[in-house]
Parts: sequence; C-alpha cells; structure tokens
Amino acid sequence: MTTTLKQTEQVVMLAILRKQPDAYGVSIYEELEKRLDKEVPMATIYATLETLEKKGFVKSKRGLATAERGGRAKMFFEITGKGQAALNASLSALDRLRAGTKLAGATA
Amino acid sequence: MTEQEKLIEILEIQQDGRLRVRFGDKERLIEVPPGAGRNDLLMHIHGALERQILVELKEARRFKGDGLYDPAAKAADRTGTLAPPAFAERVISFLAPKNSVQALLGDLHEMFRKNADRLGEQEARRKYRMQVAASLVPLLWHWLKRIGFFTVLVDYFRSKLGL
Repeated sequence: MTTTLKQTEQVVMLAILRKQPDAYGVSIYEELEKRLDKEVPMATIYATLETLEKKGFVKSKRGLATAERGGRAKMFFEITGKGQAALNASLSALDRLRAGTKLAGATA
Repeated sequence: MTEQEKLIEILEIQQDGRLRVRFGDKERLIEVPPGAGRNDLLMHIHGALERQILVELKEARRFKGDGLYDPAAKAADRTGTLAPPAFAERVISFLAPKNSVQALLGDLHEMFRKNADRLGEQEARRKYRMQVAASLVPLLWHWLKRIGFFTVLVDYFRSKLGL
C-alpha cells in the first residue's frame, strides 16, 4: 500500500472524514481554517481533490443547485475504501517515524 | 439529557482562565477575569450567549436595514442583487477545470454571501478578490499542466539539444 500522500492530501482527506456526509468545498475550507488556523485557497482544495479523485481515493457526487450559491450545485466528496487504506498507511508511517522522538512544545 | 440536547456545555477551562464553551453546534472562548465572583461568571457566559444569538439572527438576515428585529426580513432585498466581483469570477471560470468550475464558483459565491452578511459587502468583495488571488498560482499551474505546456516545453528543449 502506498504511503506517499502529500501533506495537503492528508489534511484534505481528514477534513472530508470529519465533515462526512456534508463534505463539500465550503465545509472542507471551514474545517481546515478552524483546525489548522490558516486559510487554504479554495483552488488548492479543489486541485487536491481532483488529484485524489484521479488516484481513486475520493469520489464526488453532485448536489442540488441553490440560489445562495448563484444557482450552482454543490459537489460532495467522500473517501473510498482505497483512500481510507492509503490515509491510514500514510498516517501510520508518520506515527512510526514520530514515536520515541521528543519535540519541544508537543502535547502528544 | 443527551449530549445533543445540551444547549450550553463547558468544554474546557483553560490555564489563563478562559472558558471554551459550546452553544448548540458553535464553540466560543469566553474571557473571565481571575477572581470573578459567581454572578460575574454567569454574566460573562450570559453576555456571550446573547452575542451568539445576535450573530445567528444576523446570519439568518432577521434584521432590517435600520437594524430593527424583523422576523419576516429573511432573504431581504439585498440577496437578489448581491453578486461577487465579476472579473474575479471570470478569471476562475477561465482557469479552473471544466468538471469542477461550477462547484468552485458556487462555493466562492456561498462564502461571499456569508461574508457579506457577517462583515458587509465591501469586506466580502475584498475577501473574494483575496481568495481568487491566492488561487491564481495553483489554478495557473494546473491549467498549464492541462494544456500540456510542460510537455511542449520539454519537447522544445529536447529538439534544441538534439536529445
């Protein structure tokens, strides 16, 4: 199993997991802003989602168009089984690398 | 009472004395001066709850232009005409991939409307332009990749170097 997820891919996938079943551009953006305390450009989120979709790690489905979105539909994202396995492997690799290290200011 | 039914929940008392409190599904930090009495503590929490209710009402557009509470004011006159900067939208339309451009524009539009309600139209426009500016590099990079710019570039140098 590949563990070569970029950091942006990891955080976007984690945000999707947190927001499911309501994971779409704005909710992912807000979750990242809230949890990481920084603004990730919406285009970066979409570019990452496109890459993840090409890899088969996420799948998208179109929602209904609403007036508050200028008549445009939402695109909902969910992580596939393959994506969950890749994310798990990637985070586990980080945990293994981190285990036993002492980092000043770390809480975990 | 289940977790979901709790209206107010104190999630954490921080070392500096601030309280991390959840109102419904919103979290807020409340400043409480050390040594505050019981009544003062309740007043701080009460004040924060009142501010939260005002924010919710404002987000739900329940105030008229004169700032007076109006239950029927939702989706008032402004909502029909309020639109994000057209030029910034065109930039996104041109550079974003076809399969996600409508979703991306819709998300930016939704954020613009939220910001307009919360911060005012001018600030919402500024934030929209900033969002588009921050998106330019990733969009341009993916656009160049999509149109095969880098392949052409590599082929050009290969032919020049005779590889």
